[in-house]
Amino acid sequence: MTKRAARLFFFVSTLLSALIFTVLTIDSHRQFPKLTNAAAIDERVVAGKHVWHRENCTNCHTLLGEGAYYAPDLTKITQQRGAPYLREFLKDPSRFYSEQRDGRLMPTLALSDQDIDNVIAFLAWVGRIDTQGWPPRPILVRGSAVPGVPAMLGVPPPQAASRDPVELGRAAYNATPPGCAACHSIVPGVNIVGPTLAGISATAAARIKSPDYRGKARDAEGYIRESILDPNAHVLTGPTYAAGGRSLMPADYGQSLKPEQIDQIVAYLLTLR
Amino acid sequence: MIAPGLLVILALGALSASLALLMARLELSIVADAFAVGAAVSGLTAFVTVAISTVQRARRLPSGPHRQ
Repeated sequence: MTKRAARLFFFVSTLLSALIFTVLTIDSHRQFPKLTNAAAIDERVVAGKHVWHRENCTNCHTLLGEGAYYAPDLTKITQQRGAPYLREFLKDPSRFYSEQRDGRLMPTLALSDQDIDNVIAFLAWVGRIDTQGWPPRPILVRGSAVPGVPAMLGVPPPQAASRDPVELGRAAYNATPPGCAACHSIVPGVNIVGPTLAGISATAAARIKSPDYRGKARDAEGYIRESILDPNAHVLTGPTYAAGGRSLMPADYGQSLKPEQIDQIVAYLLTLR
Repeated sequence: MIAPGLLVILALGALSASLALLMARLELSIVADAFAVGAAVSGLTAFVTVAISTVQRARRLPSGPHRQ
């Protein structure tokens, strides 16, 4: 190659590279509004962001991987825990976490109900940003601090090719959404937020025979299905399970999950011992 | 003065990197990976070429009075 040809190749290639880079940059910017749900940013979301900054939440928590890495990432927290739980949690975090038990402490911020609603709206908006599956599983403080739970955190990736409903249910259980594993452990005696689901089959069979049972299920499978679709059918009393007689479990899985996904999760839960 | 060979290697690297991004955008993952590897190889080649050239030039420099 002559010197002149080499120079020509260099200039043309550089120009072409710059052109491709510019077009891709413009294309990325064109997609931002859709990827970030810019149309869903309303006054509550903006006010919630102000609360987030005012209270220096990012000094401990991360959003989209940005922050202090001291407390859990909150990118998908509204999908993992649901607004009722977050509302109760923000009113009194000490009810859910203690420094002695969990090794870390969320301060009580004394937020007004309006501030709490706004910050939940902000977190819900963040949760709808397309992060292409990140984080792949809930990032917990309490879960990682409890002996036996690392087995839950090191969940093997779902096998997409599997047709086994139990395997598909296990994958759905550990995915976000629905984020079942963010609140329910499968380790006996370990209650993260909701009750442990270890041995839920036997527990459910005993529970529906109890005189206190308020639901309509006839068997263990029906009880688990009812608990997913209508958490308020029978509300368990526990320090972090309910508030004002209402379960803190999200009540919209009937809409957000497909019927076959519910079948698979039920099939998986029935196998837990 | 940059050698013509180095110009070509640098241009190939930049072009490969841009095409890798373009292919990734078009969801042609294997082609994108191939271009990305090409870009990395071009970059490394350019680095090694410059390093060798620099050492050779340094060796050709006349020794100064302070080195005697």
